[in-house]
Amino acid sequence: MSPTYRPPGGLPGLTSKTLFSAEELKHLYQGFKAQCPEGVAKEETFKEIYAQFFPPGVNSGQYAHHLFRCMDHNQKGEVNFEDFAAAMSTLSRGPLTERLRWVFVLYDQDGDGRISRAEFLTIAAAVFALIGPYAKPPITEQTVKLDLDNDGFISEDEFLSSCLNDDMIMASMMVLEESLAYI
Amino acid sequence: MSTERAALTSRGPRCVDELRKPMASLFLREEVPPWPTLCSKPCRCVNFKMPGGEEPQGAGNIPPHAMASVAAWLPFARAAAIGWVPIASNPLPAPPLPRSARRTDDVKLIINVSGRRFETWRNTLERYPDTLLGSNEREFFFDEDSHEYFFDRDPDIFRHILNYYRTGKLHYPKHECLTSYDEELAFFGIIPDVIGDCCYEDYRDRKRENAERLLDDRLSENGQGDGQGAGLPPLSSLRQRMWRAFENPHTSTAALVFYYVTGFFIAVSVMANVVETVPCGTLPHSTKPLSCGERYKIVFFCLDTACVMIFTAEYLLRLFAAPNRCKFVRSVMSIIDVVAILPYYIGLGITDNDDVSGAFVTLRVFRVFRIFKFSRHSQGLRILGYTLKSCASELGFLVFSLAMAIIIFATVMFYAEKNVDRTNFTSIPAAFWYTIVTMTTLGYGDMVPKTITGKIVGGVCSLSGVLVIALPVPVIVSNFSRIYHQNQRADKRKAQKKARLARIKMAKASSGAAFVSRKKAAEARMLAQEQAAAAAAAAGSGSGQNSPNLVALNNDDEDIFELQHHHLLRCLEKTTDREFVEMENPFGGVTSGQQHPQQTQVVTPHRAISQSPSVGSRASLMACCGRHCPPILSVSRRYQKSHIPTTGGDCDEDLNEVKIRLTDHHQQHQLRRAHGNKSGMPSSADSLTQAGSCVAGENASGANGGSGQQARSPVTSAVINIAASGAQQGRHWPQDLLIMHHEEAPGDGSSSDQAGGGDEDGLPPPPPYPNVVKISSL
Repeated sequence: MSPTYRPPGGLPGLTSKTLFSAEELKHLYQGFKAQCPEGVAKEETFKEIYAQFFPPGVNSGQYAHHLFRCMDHNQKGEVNFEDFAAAMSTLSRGPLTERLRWVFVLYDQDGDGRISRAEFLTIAAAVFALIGPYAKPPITEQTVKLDLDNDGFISEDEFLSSCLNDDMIMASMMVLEESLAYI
Repeated sequence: MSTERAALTSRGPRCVDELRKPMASLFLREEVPPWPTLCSKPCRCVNFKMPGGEEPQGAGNIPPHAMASVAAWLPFARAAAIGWVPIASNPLPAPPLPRSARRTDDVKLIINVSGRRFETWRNTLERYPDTLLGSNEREFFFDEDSHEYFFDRDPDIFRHILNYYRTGKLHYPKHECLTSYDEELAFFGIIPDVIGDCCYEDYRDRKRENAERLLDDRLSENGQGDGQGAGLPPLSSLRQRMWRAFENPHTSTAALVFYYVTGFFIAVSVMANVVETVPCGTLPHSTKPLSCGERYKIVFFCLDTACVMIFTAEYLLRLFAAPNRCKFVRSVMSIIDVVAILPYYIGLGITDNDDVSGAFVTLRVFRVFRIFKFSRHSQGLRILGYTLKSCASELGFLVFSLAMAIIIFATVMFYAEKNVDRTNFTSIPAAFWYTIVTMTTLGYGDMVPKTITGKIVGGVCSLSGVLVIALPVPVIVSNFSRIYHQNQRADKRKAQKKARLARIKMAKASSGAAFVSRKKAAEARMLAQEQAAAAAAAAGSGSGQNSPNLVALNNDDEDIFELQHHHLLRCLEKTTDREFVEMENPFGGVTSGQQHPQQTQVVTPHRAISQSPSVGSRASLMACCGRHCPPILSVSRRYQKSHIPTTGGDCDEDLNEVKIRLTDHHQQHQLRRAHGNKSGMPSSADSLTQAGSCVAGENASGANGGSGQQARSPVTSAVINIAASGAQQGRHWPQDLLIMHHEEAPGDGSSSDQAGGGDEDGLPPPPPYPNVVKISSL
């Protein structure tokens, strides 16, 4: 199987689609291209890259899988630079609601517009897997907090509103926003 | 190696610990083990230690090569942390102070390596701060004028080094010499362990080969040196000498003789064993053929005795000389020796008893082992034995597979042919013989299958035999060939070593001479300067003539260096109260009557100018002004700052020897000086010009310019064109100046004398100089 080569769209197009400046896009692309010379990132590659940020022995593949799914809009099985840039743009420069929406999509694995308890726990388990086989995920509290109408599912609005009202979550989002100010 | 890899830190755009801190705070519970501690340097480190101190291995420890591009993904990983927020039980910690737009900090650096310019980002270089380019060590090489970093190194290899920074992988180019590559790596502070896996095997193999070769060379150099007797430590005992003689027959004549004698007797013994079984006529009263051994019993017995005595003596001598007797006794060769001579002694002990004579005959068979003693004499045999030993596994496989096939086919053949009348296949073991003969395609025909099944099986057997045997054989053959060629190469290296050592010796010789000549040149120049200064001071108006000389002197950069070096040697002389003197070269005491064409006035005969092919060889040293000048004169000249013209003065130097003499023999020098004076001035000038012609790098013009100056010491004329090679060797002194020995009464011979007129032979020999210490440049 010959390696594919998918160059990204032109720089001006990307500049308009994302919230990045040309310089930032260039830098992002250089990094992207260095790891994925073909222009697209397959899930395996993505998982390898993500795994490098964590100590050995932890299973970062679960969370990476979810991230990949989020980024891969058309479910093509690969993430090209446009997807990558779009995700980065949303996460680092996008408005708060957009970001929260992104998180919602991350949690909502089957895309039905609601986060079930199982889905929530899956993500929680994936996140805890990042720290290694040491900690057990908390089961009930968070889910309960978010589930406003207690129907066992968290809809998008519930999610957004509960997050916006939660101080701690807001504080954390601010932190992340600050830290991503410079790419 | 892994620790060193781990030790390589790199700087990323943001510290990874920023990423981890949120994680750590998310899960504050006791089960969570202490998070791997991070390096203390902020924003610089992605290395961390696991609790317990082991270095992390694997994906989490970002290998330096990946750091480069993975760093670009760090913002993404941080952004992805947004997914943790809903689960977090604690707020995320504040990020570190953001650095100003990192990317605009990044500048491109120009690295100029021997003219080839490389450009790269500064960040690329700083990925590896433990190296020259990544640390501020590179500032030492910064050229302010051109705003680039200049390295006077090999640009081809530098390409690989720079690629290491760029991609994180260090490759080893196969066409480059290993040592030069290693040197470049060492210079740039990169350890060879980071060579990528793709090239590491190759690198290691070549390094091992190189090391073996060097070791080999060194060993044989030492061995040769010792063997030649010159460097033989006087404490070498008889035992050691004997052992060396046994192991290396070429070291001394006696060893060589011994070697050939034993070889001869081995051959004789083997031949005797063979011949004594040849039928030699018949018994007088019967038709039974008689073997030669029985007919000439006494002769063969004597021959056997002689051989065995020689072998016994040899074995005992080896045993005595062996440094480690237990090891020697257990070695293969010694076992062969013992087995070769034991039958004889056992035979002596056994009487002509019928019971035992059968055993005695068997023992005689062992005498054939004497032929293995030849392996000491033949390298090919040794290689063969070594090959078989090293191919033990292939041989084992061959034997095993053959055995399997034999058993299978023999069984089948037996059952197929069992029922044939008067069959040869009486049992399975009997069928073994058939199977072996068939599989090796010998096909004697003494056992032949008669049934159809048998024939089919026989056919299959022979076909498979070919395959089974053919498979391991090439492996054995290639092993043999490889070892054989290795040996050939070793021999070739040894043969070339002589030439190489000769070259090295010549180079050393020339450097020793260059040392002396440079020293003399320096002296000359210093004297000239002093003279010029004195003359200028004395006669102000006449300085116009002198100043050009001064100018000529100072123009040359080398002069400064030489002068300073000379000053240093002078300090040494003063300290030790000795002088550097050259010894004349007793070059056969040649004082041919040849005159140098340039010299108009011949005061003393000149030595023949001999031709020599190589630069800086001995002969070229003699080339100019071949007169053996009394070194004494040069010394005295130096000390009294007087200028004695000599013909061709001190231009000769013995290549390798410089004598140091105590200073209290000046009066004798003065004697000679007086003699020398008679030679008159012009000769000095001529000798100077003549010498000047042979000078390559040294600035003799200054010396020659002083035709009107008596001050000019002809020492300058001594400058020999070694300068070319001397300069090439760099301004380092031959390290091998040693003091050879303390010499009494050197008896320099008539050549040390310089007298006006006549040939040197007529001069009286100089008085002996006690306390002369010879320095040899080897």
